[in-house]
Parts: sequence; structure tokens; C-alpha cells
Amino acid sequence: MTKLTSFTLNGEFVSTKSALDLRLVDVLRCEFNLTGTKEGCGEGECGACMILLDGHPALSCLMLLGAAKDRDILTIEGLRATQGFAVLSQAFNDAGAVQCGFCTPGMIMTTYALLRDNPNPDDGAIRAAMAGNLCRCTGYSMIVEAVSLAVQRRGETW
Amino acid sequence: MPFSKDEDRIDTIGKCCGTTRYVGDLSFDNMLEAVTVRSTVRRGKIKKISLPEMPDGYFCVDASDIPHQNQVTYFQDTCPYFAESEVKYIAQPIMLMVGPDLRKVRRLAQKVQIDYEEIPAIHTLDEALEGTKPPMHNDDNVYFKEDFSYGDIDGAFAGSDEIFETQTRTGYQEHLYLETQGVVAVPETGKMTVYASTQGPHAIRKALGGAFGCDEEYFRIQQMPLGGGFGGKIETPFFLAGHAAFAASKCKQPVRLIYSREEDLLATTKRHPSRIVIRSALDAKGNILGVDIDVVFQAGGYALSCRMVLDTGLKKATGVYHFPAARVLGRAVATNNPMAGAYRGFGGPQTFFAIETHMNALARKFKRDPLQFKADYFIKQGTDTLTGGKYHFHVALPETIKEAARLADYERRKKEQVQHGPILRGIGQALFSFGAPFSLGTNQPLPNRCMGLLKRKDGRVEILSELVDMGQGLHTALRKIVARALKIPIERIIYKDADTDRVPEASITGASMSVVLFGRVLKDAADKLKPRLEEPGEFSVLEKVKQPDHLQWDPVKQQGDPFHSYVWGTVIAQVEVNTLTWQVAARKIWTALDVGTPIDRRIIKGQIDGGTIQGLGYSLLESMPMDAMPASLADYIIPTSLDVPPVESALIANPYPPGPYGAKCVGEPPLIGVGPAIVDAVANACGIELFQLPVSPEYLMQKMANKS
Ligand code: FES
Ligand code: FES
Repeated sequence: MTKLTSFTLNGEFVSTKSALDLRLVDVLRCEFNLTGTKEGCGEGECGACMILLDGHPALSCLMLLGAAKDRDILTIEGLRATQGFAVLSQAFNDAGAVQCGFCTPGMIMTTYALLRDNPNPDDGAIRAAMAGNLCRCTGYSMIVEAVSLAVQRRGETW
Repeated sequence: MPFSKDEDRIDTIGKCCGTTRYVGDLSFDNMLEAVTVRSTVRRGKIKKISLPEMPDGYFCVDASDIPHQNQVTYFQDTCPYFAESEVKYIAQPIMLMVGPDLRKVRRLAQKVQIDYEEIPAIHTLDEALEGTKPPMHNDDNVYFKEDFSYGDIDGAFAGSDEIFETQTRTGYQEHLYLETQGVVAVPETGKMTVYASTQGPHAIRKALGGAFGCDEEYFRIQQMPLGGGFGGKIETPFFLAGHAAFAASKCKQPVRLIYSREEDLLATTKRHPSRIVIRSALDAKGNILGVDIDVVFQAGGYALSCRMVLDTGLKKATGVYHFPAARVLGRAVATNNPMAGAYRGFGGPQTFFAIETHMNALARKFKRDPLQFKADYFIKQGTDTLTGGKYHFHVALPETIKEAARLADYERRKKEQVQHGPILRGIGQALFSFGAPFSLGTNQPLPNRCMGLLKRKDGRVEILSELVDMGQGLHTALRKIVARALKIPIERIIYKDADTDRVPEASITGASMSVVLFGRVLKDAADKLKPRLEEPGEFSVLEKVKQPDHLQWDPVKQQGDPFHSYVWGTVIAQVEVNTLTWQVAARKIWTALDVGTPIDRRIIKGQIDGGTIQGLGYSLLESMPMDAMPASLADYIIPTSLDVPPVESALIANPYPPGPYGAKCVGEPPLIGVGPAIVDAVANACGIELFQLPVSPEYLMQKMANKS
């Protein structure tokens, strides 16, 4: 008997027959072809695999598929249709916050959730929220600057 | 200033959206996954390999599957793709396990049983030189040795009143690009395409031709967007490309080989650890009469590019100074440790740490202001290089010092109260230069390399170049240069990731050559294309790579101008030392850099910030034993957003006439001065001398215990 795991993925109801002990990051990338979620370490240290689980940042490399059952999962592919993403990505562009880009989708997931819950974070709050997202290229300052820009420009976006 | 506007990078939006396809995002019908089976011992002979029972559709691939030769032909020293009879370091590849289901492939790889006869391993560079273990390279373990000198160095020491000696040590540094190494090899009719995260597509194609014993054009290398490189995707990708290609050719199916982070930490190249002894001959007044520098770089089980890294480091070993006499001796030694290779700075971070730490310690010894003390020996325009060439162009070092000191309010902060409760505060500085690109012989023809511009039917112009944008913004910088030369909007300039079937061989992307040398080649090509822009149809203009006219270099005698151009810079760092935990926190870093004409200030700021923070990690956090690699990111700490201080930087405009619009390089230099500046700041805060990177709490505590 095959077990179905159902959950909401980027706003759509989906089901899969895959083994429950597969890592969510693999299911997203290989089965649903959502390769915007990256794997940088596979051990919960880098944040490249960040998704939103019921709206909160979560590491998809540390989650097994079984844990996704009946939950609401948002990946960068889902986020990019939102106004919030448009503001954030424009700010990342303007601040020069993207170099190799491998950390970027994860950074955007994290900072999107931050700005939703804290409309006016200061430099310290932005850095604290990003502490689980490693970036080797930028030295972080231009990413912090991008998030501050997004704070100024967000209006009532999200 | 010709470039007043920062251009948006066209790669940004795809990277934000997650639509940019890195090599690990590719997949093909019938694709197999590959996992590398690696040595678990440091040094030994392979006695026996027992394979598990292989299910249908699963294969193993080893040296016997290599069509022609088990040697990465890019390297002149021995360097096998797969170990055959002996292993020389932990994690050396022995075979590949291949099959459709990655989890099954992993399990099979774990079940391979390998018996070794172990040989006493060489763990440190000191052991390599002492010769207490069976030698692993010739009888002295020296892969490569080189020396340079000028003036009467023996006379300087014979006539000296005092000799001052320092010994500095630096450890490994892992690149830690966020995207691990990966390739996919796809066999096609009469051809094989290899998709790779690499800094050198054509070099891989050549190496594959060598291993297969066939025309290299059989292979097409498609470079994929890099999730970071920093020099780490020059050497290791040869192995992955070879492995995946051997497997794809054996199985006749696409093969994907992506390293896990654990493998990437264990098996890929790192920055060479170093031990550098500097002796200064001093007169009675404390003037330097001559400097003798002995550099040892620790290489791993195979030499890889240690010759070039050591050579470049040695040519920078006398720092920003010209002494009355100097001698530099360098050796790269074999150990059974993780392999060392190219890394942003290429030998410079080690030798600059040594010379700046020596000079700063000397200044403290004589209670002299360090900047004034050092100024007596500054290189100036017209000064001889270590190799008897000349510094041909204006040396903007004093301007960078002035600007960094102004930004940092250095004179005031130096005098600030240094103790607040358990916190000691200190400020430090370091001066550096960065010569690049390295010269090729000027008395012989250059290899035939070129870059091109393709004028398309639609009027757009495509840059034909294999140079890789690994995140540093190179494609945007080169597009800007071409757009400026053609006087057309940058939107009309196209630059795609390299496909060796479409673009000519130019070079590996590294050694800070891309803007200063190849940018100039493209500008010259654009100047040729300009009058023909309105011609109908599609045509291309190729321009050969040539060195600037001022250059004289004799590669046999190692005489002349070792580098084309020099970037000059000053770093000032302020730190706080917690005397309860002996942890050091950088509070702020200021950098002033002469990059010639800035092509794009936003991209340059990204390079300065990123290079500085990578240098900060090297100085304070990124610690690993000299002989082992952590297998997890949890054990190799790089800076997070909470660890980094503000970095304030300024550019000094000192155009370099042969560069495109006067530009020099910018990617590597910002890292160089950070280590010695941090150490100087900690030394000033604590009132001791420090000689080691990283400055770990353990090291500092031990030093302070010795002091009291
Ligand atoms: S891949 Fe999940 S935290 Fe690094
Ligand atoms: S941009 Fe490369 S890791 Fe962040």
C-alpha cells in the first residue's frame, strides 16, 4: 500500500507517494522541480535551503517529507509572485546584495518573513534574523543595506 | 571619470527568483548519480578492494576505466584521477559508484571494503623538512624550491649590530563557496558535453583530451553559473570532470556528480598553510640593512599548483618595501594532508602577513610610529623589483595610507583609552600591494590566445570569452568596457556563460587578470569593431591576447618585471579583546585601495566588503588543525552576519595606463592586508607580539599567560 503525503505547496494542494523519510529539500528539488531552494550544506548550517513552513523560516534539509504532511510550504518559486518579493528583489539589486547568488533565495525567504513580522527592523534585528543564512561573497553589509532599503520602500506591501 | 554610473547586473534577477540554473539544478533523462569512494587512511598501499554485490544498473568506475592516462595533464607533477596502488591523503578518490538512485549509490559506496598497508604519514610541514618519516617526494619532500635576491645580503648580516627574527605561521583556509563542487557529463553522438561549476572551461577540455587520449574537441564544456569560486574551482573541477566523464563514457548515460558539503570540506583544495622566518640585519640605530626571508608552504599529497602559488607569494614577500639588500628563499613541501591550491590572494596573504607582522613588531621594539618607521623603505616609482625589474608607474601607497588614516581617524583612536572593564581595545594597520597579472616571457611568442566580439544581425554585440563570472561581477565589468568603447548602450552587449564550442580559449579566470589584461584585449577588439558596427550581417572580430609594452620578463632567469601592474592599499582595523574569554571581535575595518580607474563602484564595494570579511574569517575564526579537515560546517566557522564589523572603504584613483581606461584588478587585494592589521591591533591592545593566524582564543590565552 502506498502512502500519500499531502500538503500545500506554493498555494496549491499537492500529494506525493514518495518515501516519508526523504528529505524535504530533495522532494522539492527533484520531484517538484523547485530548484530555487538550494542545498549548501545539508546539515542545517547555511540557510540556502530556507523555506517558509506555515509562514515561518525552516530548513528544508533538516525536514523529512513526513513532517510536511498537512502543512503549508512556500518556496522562492511561490514567493516570487508576491509584491513583497518584487520590493525585496529590487532592493537586493539596488544595494548590490547579490554576487554568486547561491545564498540569495534563502536570504530572501528569511528577510521576507522578518519584514512581515517586524515592519521596521533596525540593523541589529536584520543581522540577527539573517544569522542562520551564510553568505561567503558579500560580507553581509550590502544585504543588510538591501533589507533596510526594502523597509523604506515597502509601504503596505506585505 | 569615464564610468560614473553603477550598472545593474543582469544575473541578479534570476538569482533572486531562484531560476538561475546551477549545475546541481540540471537533470537529464536516464541520468545516473555518482558518489566518490575515498581513502580513509592518510598514507598507505592499497592491498585489496572488495566490492559489494552490485545490483543491476549500478556500476563502479576506477582507474582501469580511464581510456588513456590516469593523470590530470593540467599539472606537470604527478596527479592521478583515481588512486591505483597507493594513497597519499585522507579522502583521495579511489573509485566512483554510479547508479540511478542516489541513496542506493551512497550505501553501495559505503560498503566498498578497502584494505591498506599503512605507511607512517607526514603530518606537518616541519615533519616534511625534518625527514623523520619515509619521504614522499624525492628524498627531501620538496616539491618546488626557488630563491631571489638583490644587494649584498651576506655583507648586510656580517656588518649588522643586531639581528631581529620573527617566525609567523598561518593555517589552512577553506574557500567555502556556498555551492559545493559539481559536474554533469552527458554523452552524445560523437561528442560528450560536460556541464561544470568551473573557473576554467577550456583547461578542463584539454585535460579530458589528455585523459581520453583523443582530440579535445570531442568534449564540449558548458560552464554553469558558479555559486562562488575564490580560486577553489580551478583545480578540483578537473577531478570531478574526469570522474564523471569516465563514468558517462562507460555507462553511456548522463552522470551527475555533486559533492556533499562533508566531501567538499574533506577533499577539495585549501589555502596553503605557511611558516615564514624573517631575519632583519639592523645597524646600531635600528636601520634595516638587509632582510632574509625563508618561506615554507605546506602542500598536500600532490603538488597541484603549489609552484605557482609559492612563486607568486615569494615575489611579494618583501612587501611594499625596498631594502638595501634582500634574499627570499621558498619551498613548497609534500605532506599527507589535505591538498592545498589556488585561493584568493594566491600566496600573498601568507607572505604579507609575515612581512607586515615583522615590520610592525620592529616598530614597536624601537617605539617608533609604525607608519613613519615603515616609510623609510617604501617602494616608489622607478624602484627595482625583487627580480630586478621596475615599478614603472606611480606608486599610490602614501595616498592610501593618508586616506585610510583619515577615514579611521587613526591618530586620535591610537591614543584612545584602551581598557574598559575586561575589554581591551586596540587599533592596527597593514600596508600591502598586489602585483597582477603575472608576466609571461617577453622574449618569446605568447601562446595563441584570444577573445572576440560577435556583431549579430540584430545589432547586438556578444562577447566571445571563456572568462567566468563566479559572482564577482566580471561579466558586467567587461560589458561596461565594451559598451564604452563601442559607444552603445550596455543593454546591447551580451555575455553568456562559456561554452567551449563557441568561445576561444583565453585563460582560467583567476590571478586577477580578467579586467586589467583581458578587459584591455576586449577594448582593443571593440576599437576595431567600432567603425564596422553598421555593417550588415553577422561577423566577429578576434583580438589576440598580448602583454603591455612596458613589460620585460625573462622566465628562465626569473628576471625583470614579475607582474604587469600593482594595486596599493592600506587596512586599518580596530578590535576588542575580551580578557575573560580571550575572544577577539573586530569593531571596524577601514580600507583604502588604489584600483586604478574604478569600472563600477558598487561591484568594487562588493569585492572589498567580501574580501575583507573573508580575510577577517582567516584572521580570527577559520581554524583547523594543520593536518586534518573538519567534516562538518559546524566545525569550520566562517563569519555570519553577527560577526562582521562595518567595513568602510575608499578608492584612490591612480589610472594604470595600459589597463582598459586605466583599470587594475580588485578581486583579490582586499583580503591581503586584513590578517596583519588585525594581528597588529590585537598586539597593540594586549601589549604582546603575535605571530599566528588565526588568532584563536587558545593561542591568545597562551601568549598572555607567557607574558605575565
Ligand atoms: S542546506 Fe540546509 S542549512 Fe545548509
Ligand atoms: S552571494 Fe555568494 S554566497 Fe551570498
